[in-house]
Amino acid sequence: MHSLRVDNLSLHLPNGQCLVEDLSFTIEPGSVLALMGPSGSGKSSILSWLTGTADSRISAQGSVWLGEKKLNSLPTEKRRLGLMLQQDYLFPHMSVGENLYFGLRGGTRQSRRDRVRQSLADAGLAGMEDRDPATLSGGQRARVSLVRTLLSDPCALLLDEPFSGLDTALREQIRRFTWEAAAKLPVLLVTHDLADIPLDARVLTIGECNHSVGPLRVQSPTQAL
Amino acid sequence: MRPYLFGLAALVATLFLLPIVLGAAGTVMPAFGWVDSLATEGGFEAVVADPRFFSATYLSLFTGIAATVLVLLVTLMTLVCVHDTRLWRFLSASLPPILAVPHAAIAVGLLFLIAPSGALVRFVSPTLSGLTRPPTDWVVPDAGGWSLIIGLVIKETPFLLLAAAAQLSALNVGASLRIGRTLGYSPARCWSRLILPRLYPRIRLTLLIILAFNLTVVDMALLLGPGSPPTLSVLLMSLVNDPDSRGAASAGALLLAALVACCFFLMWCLEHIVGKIAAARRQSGARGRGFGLFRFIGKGVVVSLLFACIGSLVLLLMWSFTRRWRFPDAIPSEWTLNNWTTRGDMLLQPAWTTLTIAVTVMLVSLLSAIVWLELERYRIAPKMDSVWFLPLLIPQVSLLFGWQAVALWWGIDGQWGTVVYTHWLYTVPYVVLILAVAWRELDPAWGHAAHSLGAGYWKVLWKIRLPMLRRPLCQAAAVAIAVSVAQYLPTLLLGAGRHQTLSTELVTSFGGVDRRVIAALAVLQSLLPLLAFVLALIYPRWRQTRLQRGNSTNPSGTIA
Amino acid sequence: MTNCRNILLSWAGAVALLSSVQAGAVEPDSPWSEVVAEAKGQSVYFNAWGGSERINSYLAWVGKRLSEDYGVTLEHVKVGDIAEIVGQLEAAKLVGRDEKGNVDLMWVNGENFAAMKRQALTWGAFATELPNSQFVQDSPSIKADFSVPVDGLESPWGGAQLVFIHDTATVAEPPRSAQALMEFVKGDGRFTYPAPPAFHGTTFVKQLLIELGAGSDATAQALANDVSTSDFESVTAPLWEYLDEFHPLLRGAGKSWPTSGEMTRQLLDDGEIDIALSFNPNEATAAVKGGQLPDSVRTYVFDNGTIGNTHFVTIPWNANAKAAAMVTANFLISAEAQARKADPEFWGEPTVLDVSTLEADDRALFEGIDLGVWALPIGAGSVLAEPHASWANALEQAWLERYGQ
Repeated sequence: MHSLRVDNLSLHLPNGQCLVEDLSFTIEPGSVLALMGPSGSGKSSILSWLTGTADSRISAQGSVWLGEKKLNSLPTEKRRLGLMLQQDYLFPHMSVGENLYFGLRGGTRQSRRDRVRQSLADAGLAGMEDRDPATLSGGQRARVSLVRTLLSDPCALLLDEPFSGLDTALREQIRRFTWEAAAKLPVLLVTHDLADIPLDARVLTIGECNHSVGPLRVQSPTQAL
Repeated sequence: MRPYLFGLAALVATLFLLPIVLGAAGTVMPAFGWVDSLATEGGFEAVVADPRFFSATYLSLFTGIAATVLVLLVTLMTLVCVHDTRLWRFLSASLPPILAVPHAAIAVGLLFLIAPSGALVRFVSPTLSGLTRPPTDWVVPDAGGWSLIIGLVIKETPFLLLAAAAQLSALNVGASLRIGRTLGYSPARCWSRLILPRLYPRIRLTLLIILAFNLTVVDMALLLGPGSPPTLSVLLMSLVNDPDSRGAASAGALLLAALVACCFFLMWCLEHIVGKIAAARRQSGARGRGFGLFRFIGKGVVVSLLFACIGSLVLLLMWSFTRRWRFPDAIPSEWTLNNWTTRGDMLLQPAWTTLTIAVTVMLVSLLSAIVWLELERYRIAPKMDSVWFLPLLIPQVSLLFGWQAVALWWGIDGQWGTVVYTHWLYTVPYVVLILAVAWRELDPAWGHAAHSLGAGYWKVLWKIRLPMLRRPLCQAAAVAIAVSVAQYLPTLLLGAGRHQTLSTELVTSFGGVDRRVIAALAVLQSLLPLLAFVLALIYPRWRQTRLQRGNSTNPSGTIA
Repeated sequence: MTNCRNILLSWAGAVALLSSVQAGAVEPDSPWSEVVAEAKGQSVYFNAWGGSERINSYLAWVGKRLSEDYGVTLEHVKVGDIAEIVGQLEAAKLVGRDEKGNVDLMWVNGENFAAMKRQALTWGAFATELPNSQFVQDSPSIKADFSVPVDGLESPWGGAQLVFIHDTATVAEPPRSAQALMEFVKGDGRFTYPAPPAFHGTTFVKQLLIELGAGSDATAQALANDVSTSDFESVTAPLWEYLDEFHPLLRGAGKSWPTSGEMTRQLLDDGEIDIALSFNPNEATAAVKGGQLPDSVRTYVFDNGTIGNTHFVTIPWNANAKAAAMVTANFLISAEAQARKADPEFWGEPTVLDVSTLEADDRALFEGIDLGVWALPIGAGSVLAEPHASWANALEQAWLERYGQ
């Protein structure tokens, strides 16, 4: 597994307003970087830029690396960055199983079937392969969505407020499920709920472009301890 | 009060269903020889015995199905390749006006464009092609029906594209693409696997309407289709006015309707097969490769279609001001205003007839649609969205042969009111369905608020609901005018030749009349609906800006 | 009292007027003054082929003159194929609609007239009662329409002859016989003709039939009589043999056809074909002046002559405005209307009047017309008689069976 690295990222809105100035960070495999900041501070834009789906009107400088591979010029589908959004976007015209098959890369028919069954079982969703996603509960949907992302073998995971749509009781359960499932990947988590952030994660707060030490403060809770 | 309102709803529904039911009966009965005064028995034998019947049927099937398949492919390709680009924004803006241009006008323009002596060859001759005389390698219209297919694709693709574009917002295209791509799929595959399967059911009805239209169109087939044999609907048109073959024509119209039904069934089967294949492929996990060439081709197709459309219209305009324009000159050698000024009699009278019919049809359609939707809102009239589509799904030939027979029997053929009524039948579905969306979305709370301020029903309708729905009302009015202006068969069959509209004038005089005057007619025919669209676009904005200006010029000092 | 009487009188007058209007339906032989009086204020629905804007403009002028002189409103109902109108009349006859018909006056000849006469769809012998009919030529094609006796049921309107137009810039010496035409298309000559049952197409086929059967008395005999009395197959065999060889060499390879004679003229101007068909010896002049053909075109006919005929107007039995229809028919054969019609500036079609019988003033109208070098030179070719009216339909059907599918 490789680390996810961002070098000297600057994002500017079409009107010239600065979102991020000269931001650099590295996320090692198995570690989580939590991105925090007020609404409109550019958290989601950073994620969009990372996946290569940013609005073309936002001007961006900087580079993104997976290990030694530079991703900038690759199209979204070749970057291998798994993305989870606040809404789960399970495709309504496919069953739960089909959604997972859609995510799963390669393999023989038998191995594909085994893998989907296994991941469903691991997610506590055994036997739900043929269910219509619309009939699932919020927690079940969130898990299917995460499993779908992981089945596509991403090299890093980008989470954009993945838990905020869930009710409190479920949230903790899904968080745990997520951190277990993503244990070996570099994870970038966008959130504004401190409770979402695992204890060993680093936190990066952005906002106010022209801050003297740069637009962000990188601090690790563990280091602080 | 309530019984009257039920009566009103029943009246609108009856007026709408009457020509459909009687028209069907008026076609079925002579077909089987049940009405002696109209036709003797043996209609089916007679039409099948016509030497042109089978080749005409084949031609109708071929052109209709090929054109529909191409319309669907081009629409999907456009969505995949052009969506969310700068071309897409231009396209979305140009679709409604292109849609407003009548079929006959586009067909005539297309003839001027693609004929061997047409503008395309003229532009490259003699410098590039070395030709001083037109090539003889093809003719337009061609015997294989390709000219007709091209014409249909040009005219119907914008219709399907607009229907599809209206549905995209409900499909979360952006998010689906983003998720699909981060899962490793190319954009083309994201479209084919994530968006198209959900889009298709939403445009299926529009596609059915297009299929029915392509299989049975008369005016475009007269202009662009092969002549001998013609398509089935054109063949039937040549039979219907001969009393000896009315039975044959009616029987043929029934067979045509059956043919359309068969094609619907075929489409349903294909849908299921393609659906199954697509579902299997979605699970394969294959990610697909690059997209560049496909996107390039797709954009090329879209640009050529747009070019053909706009080029046809420009050619009409050019020819209408031409005195001499010989092959291979790229532009006319002599210009003139004569085609417009000295042929006023030929242009003004049909233009006036067209305008009066269109405006009346528009007003009546709006009124009846408003009545129906208001009654529907009070649960007095039922929601019957699929019923409104009926006239668009039944072949015009099949319905109107019978309706014309009924009109003859009643002695109301050739009357202005009958023509308007029949136009209304084809206009009101669009008007109701355009308005229904806005009507149902408008928050009833606005009305409640006004009622609580003491306004009665009529005041609320007139002062609150209708003004708030100004934009869709204007759009519906423009569409009504465009639909009415384009009507050929209803005017021809029910007008008994007494009401010459631009549409009938253009089609019947094509081939016999000076090309330059034909061009002027076609320009005029395009101009009316385009003008309606421009007004529909400007009027609500003008109201809006007037309101805003009213705010800013309000002298605040006087209040303080 | 007097007031009462006045009111009564005026009532009686009104009633009388009303009944006179109702009973006023003229007869074909009503005194002309009665006809003119009744026509005033009526609208004539004139069903005429509407495929030529020159003809349409001409009829617009007729309408203007009629309303000036007679208070008659002319409504030109533009028709694609007058056979359809004959069909509508047949339908009206079947359902017994014997008055207030949709058609007051219609432009017919040949098989359509034959059909109308056969089924008694015409009104009566009005044509010979028209004042202007005294100036009409005394010619066989006016007395018999495609060998069907006219009997005054229709009034002549114009004469016509099949002619060919070519561009001297591309074809210096055009083919002047059926055989020469075959050689012409076997070379790189570009030619096509409108598919029957389009009028020009049917006439061209008849022309070939006559020319290919020339010299055979049997053929001449067969063509002069009803088609049912002859051996159609053997008479037409040379025609099909010719066309089988001819068609693949045409523009569109015998699969795609123009729809009218006017369209061949357009194709000639475009350069897609070399020779256009017309049924009007003066059409080229009008077209050149109107900017529709180049200066270099000329009109010619085959060396052995081409088919010519007369076309007519008739009044259906159930016409609503018979008086006004008669007034219109009479105006159409007035020297003023015929002279304008003969002028290529407006229409340019040979007149049906015998110009020598006209008054000097009227004769001057005709003498002032300039036909131009583009028209068929006067006396250039002989006029061949039309075959019997029944042949047109038989030939059209046979053509469609062979080439129309």
